[in-house]
Amino acid sequence: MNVQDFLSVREIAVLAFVLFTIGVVGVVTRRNLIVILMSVELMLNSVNLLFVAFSRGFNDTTGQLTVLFVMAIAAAESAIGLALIIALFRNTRSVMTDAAQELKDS
Amino acid sequence: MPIMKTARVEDISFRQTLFYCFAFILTGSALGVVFHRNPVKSALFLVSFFVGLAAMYALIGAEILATLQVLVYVGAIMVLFLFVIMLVALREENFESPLSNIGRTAIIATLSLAFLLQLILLLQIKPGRADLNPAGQVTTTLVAGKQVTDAAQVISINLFRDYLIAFELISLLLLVAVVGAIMIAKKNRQALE
Repeated sequence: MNVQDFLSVREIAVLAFVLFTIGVVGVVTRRNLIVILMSVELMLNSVNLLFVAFSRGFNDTTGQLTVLFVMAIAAAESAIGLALIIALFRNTRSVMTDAAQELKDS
Repeated sequence: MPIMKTARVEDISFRQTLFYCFAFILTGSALGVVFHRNPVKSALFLVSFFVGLAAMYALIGAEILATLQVLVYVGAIMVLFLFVIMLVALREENFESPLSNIGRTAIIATLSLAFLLQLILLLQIKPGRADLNPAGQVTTTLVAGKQVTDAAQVISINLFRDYLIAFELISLLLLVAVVGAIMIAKKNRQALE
């Protein structure tokens, strides 16, 4: 059996890293808070993919358990984040990051 | 058995083709999430991303997580996102940056440098180490001495035996998050009066 023919962890690691970078670019460049939360979800999911890949690669289920916990925490995080967005929209009528300037001096 | 062997190789190359298809879909929908102007369409791209990721989990042999991915992300989190998008009046965003040219160049240069460095590091992983062997099996042993080899059983035994405290703490965290989200999002009566 040719070992090289198998799907290696390396390809999945590169894919997960590219997805993570796209998420970082989204967090840095976008100004809509909902899209920023979505980019955070992208980053969390790319790390999940890496966990699953290594868990399968080394035949150890701890990685998959970690993914379960990450999923639960991501659900809690997006619930709190969206509640904060609703509160911000109620006060400023906008969900752009430029709208949150109440603590600014000028 | 030569027939079995050729079938095996075809199976592997089929898996690789599927992997590259899903990788293409995932990267495309991630780019769509980040760069589409309309947040509703970003959310729809995010749905496609989650479904593609579930397919990827199933491909590399984590079927339980594929199911949970669809249930939790597509079923719960995306509904939450779309609900908030519906509640909040959205306008399309323009991409004019408030940063100066120098700041923008610095950010882009730093990010791409970090990206290249990390990519070079990742490519040092030797192929052939930690391959995703579809025949690889996880095992655990029950107290009664019985060996368990089914992946779902192994994961649930690990979850409810070795990580029970973490599991309970996660449920507590979810409860706190739900109560907190309601408290944050509800109308502040006293401030209105």
